[in-house]
Amino acid sequence: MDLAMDLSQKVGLALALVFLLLLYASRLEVKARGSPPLRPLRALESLRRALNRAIESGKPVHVSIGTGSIGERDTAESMAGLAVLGYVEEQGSYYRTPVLSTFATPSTLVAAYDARRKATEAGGTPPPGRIYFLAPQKIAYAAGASEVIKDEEAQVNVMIGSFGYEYLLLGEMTEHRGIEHIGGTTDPRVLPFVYASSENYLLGEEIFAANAYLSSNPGALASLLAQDRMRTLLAVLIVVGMILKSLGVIGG
Amino acid sequence: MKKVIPTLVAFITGIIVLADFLIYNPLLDQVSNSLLNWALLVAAFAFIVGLLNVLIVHFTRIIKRERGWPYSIVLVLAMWLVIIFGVLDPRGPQGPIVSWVFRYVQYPLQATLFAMLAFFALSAGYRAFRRQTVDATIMLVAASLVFLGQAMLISEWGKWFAAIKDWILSVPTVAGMRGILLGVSLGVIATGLRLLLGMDKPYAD
Repeated sequence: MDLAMDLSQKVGLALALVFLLLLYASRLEVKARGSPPLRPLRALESLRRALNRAIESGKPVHVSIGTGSIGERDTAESMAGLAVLGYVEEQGSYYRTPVLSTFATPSTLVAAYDARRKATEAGGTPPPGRIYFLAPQKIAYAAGASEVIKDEEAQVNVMIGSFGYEYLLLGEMTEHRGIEHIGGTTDPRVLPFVYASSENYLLGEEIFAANAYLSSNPGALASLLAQDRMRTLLAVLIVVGMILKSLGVIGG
Repeated sequence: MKKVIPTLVAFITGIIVLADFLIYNPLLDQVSNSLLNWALLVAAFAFIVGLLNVLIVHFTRIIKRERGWPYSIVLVLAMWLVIIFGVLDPRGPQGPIVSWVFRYVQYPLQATLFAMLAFFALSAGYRAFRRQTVDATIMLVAASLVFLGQAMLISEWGKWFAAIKDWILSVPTVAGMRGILLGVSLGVIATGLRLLLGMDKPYAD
């Protein structure tokens, strides 16, 4: 057995182990003290209010988790989107509000059926509304999802997950029809479109916080705490490294 | 037991694939590759679920005469035509009929929609600037300066705008992008660790 690791891999592994310890400590903390105070995220507050309005009107809510899949690079973003979908499906099941969800990849489609099954178990009945498998091509997906939103007369459009330029197509078509729109993704090239398209947006890592905010799941809350602590640690390391390099203590 | 076994399977699979990235061992390599191939097989089966979903959704639309139902007929027919010709042709998707459909129907339609992106970007930008917030103003000023820098003005001002554009793109933009990517990476690692440790069990409820 040969440990074929270069320096960056070793540093990465060490940081991952530190993260693991922080995650475990945060889990214990959440168990002992309960939920930590969370800063308000306007998009998620808007999502709750928009869902309430949809429940009152009985009109459908459309959820898109983007064009990512499970098992590839954008798995984490897709999982974040699925957490939001799970919440919306659960609300749809409790209050009999139609939930429409559209998918570009079969792996996320299967996960969506699972989310609906869990919502049905929680709420007693499956939420009305369909699950659509559209197309793996980004543009074709955006065109199809836009038609679903139009034909089914959705009141709210939630787009949280892994998106590319198709976000702009779908987001703008939604805005032009006056449909309430909540968006979020992680790709820095797409974030300007997210910001410009909607007033209710989650930028970058904020999409990973959605699960903790919406479900109050202890694991998700612990993960949020661990991420904040790890970010502080990395910021300190970057500043210390910068000072040491400026002073000539470390080279490279 | 119903929860323990899937969690254990996920944990062991995750650890093996992760260890294969860090440790060189022929046996570990073989096991890891087999596991990844199994994942591909499972993903391929998910396409059958996708196919069934398309058929059920569109047959329901046709039977109930829902809004836009004639398009559903076109969709189902086109889907079967492509599948049948793709399966019957020994060259598969590279066969002339399937290639023709992609080259002369799908790609032009995609290109048409793609061409509209510039207009959508403009209208989204205009709406963002109308919000009159501090961040929208910063975005407007930065976008205008980059635009002027790209315009390659011939006068003396052109050099200044080009220098400002280069500074915007290489300093604040890169700094912001790195900050975002750092946060996203932490989120991705946290999601992976939660799944690996069984803190999230999307497969076991």
